[in-house]
Amino acid sequence: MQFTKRFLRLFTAVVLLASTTAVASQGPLDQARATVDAVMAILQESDLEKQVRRERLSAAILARFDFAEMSQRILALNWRSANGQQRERFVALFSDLLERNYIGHIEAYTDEKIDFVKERVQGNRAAVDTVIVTKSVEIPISYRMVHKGADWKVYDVVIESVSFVNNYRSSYGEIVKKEGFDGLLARMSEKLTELEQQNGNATEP
Amino acid sequence: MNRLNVEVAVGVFLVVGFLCFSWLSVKLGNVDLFGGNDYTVKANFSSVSGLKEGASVEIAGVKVGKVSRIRLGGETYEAEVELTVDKGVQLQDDSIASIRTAGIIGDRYVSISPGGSEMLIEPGGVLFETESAINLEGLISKYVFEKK
Repeated sequence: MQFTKRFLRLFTAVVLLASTTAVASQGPLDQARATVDAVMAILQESDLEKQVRRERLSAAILARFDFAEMSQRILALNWRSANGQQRERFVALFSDLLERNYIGHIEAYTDEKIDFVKERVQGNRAAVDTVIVTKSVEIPISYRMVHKGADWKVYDVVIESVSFVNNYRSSYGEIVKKEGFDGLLARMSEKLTELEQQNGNATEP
Repeated sequence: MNRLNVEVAVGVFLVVGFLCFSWLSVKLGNVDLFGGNDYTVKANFSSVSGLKEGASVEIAGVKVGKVSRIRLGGETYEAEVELTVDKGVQLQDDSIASIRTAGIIGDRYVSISPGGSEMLIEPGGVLFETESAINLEGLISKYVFEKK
C-alpha cells in the first residue's frame, strides 16, 4: 500500500514534469493557438457576468502580449531619448488604451473561424500567419512574436499587410515631433478618460 | 618625326575615347565596379507585386539604396528581396520595410521606417519586419461586398 502510494506520487511528478517541458518546447503557432482556444472557451461560456467575463478575457489575452516590446518598437527612436519614468508611463497608458479599444471587438465575436496557416521562426522572433474566415471575407492576420523565457509573446499584429506597430510608429512619431513626449502622454491619458466615460455611460442605463 | 607625333596623338585620342566610352557604359548600366560604399540586407515579403529590381529604397522619402535582386524563395514561396543600402545608413534590428506606391499609380518602392533597437542589422543580415505590397483592387473588391 505504502509502495503503491509512493509510486503514484512519483508517477504524477514525472507526468507533471513532462507536461511542463512539453509546454516549454511548444512553438509560437501552438502557443498562439492555445491562447485563441482559451479566449474562445471564455466567450462560449454564456452564463458569465459581463464584468467577470471581461476580466478573464483580458487576463487571457494580455498574458500573450508583450507591451514593453511593443511600446519600444512603436516609439522607435523616441524610446531611446525617453527616460525610465516616461517609458513606464507610456507602456501603462498604451496597454490600457489597447485593452479599452479592442476588448469590445473581441466580445462582439460571433462565429468567425480562425485558421492557423504557418509559422516562420528566425532567431528569437517568429511570424505566425492566420486567416480569420467570416461569412463573406477572409482576413489574413500575421502575429509577430518574440521568445521571452519559455513563452512566445506577441509584439506586432499585421492585418492585410498593414503593421500595427508601423501604423502607430508614424502617427505617434508625428505627435512627439509636434508636442513632445509629454504632449503624447497627455493626449493618451485624455483619450483614456474619454473612453472610460463612454464605457461608464454605456453600462449605466 | 612629324608623322610620329601625329600617330601618337591619334593613339592617345583613341585611348582617351575608349576610356570615356567604358566610363559611360558603366555609368549608364548602373554597374557598381568598385563597391565598398554599400552593403546588402535581405527581406522576405509575402508579395512584392509591382516592385522591380533597381527600385529605390527610401527612409523618410530620402533615397538610401536600391533593390538589387528579387527572387522566389524555394520552400516558402515568398519573395526574397535583396536591398543594397548606403554604408552610412545604419538599420536597427526592429526597422520595418514596407512596399509602398509613389502616388496613386506610381512605381513601387521600399520604404524603411527606422526602429529604436540597440542592435543593428549586419551586412548580409535579414530584415525580419516587413509589410507586403497591398493589392488595392483586391482589398476594395473584398470589402465592397462585405455584408454589415
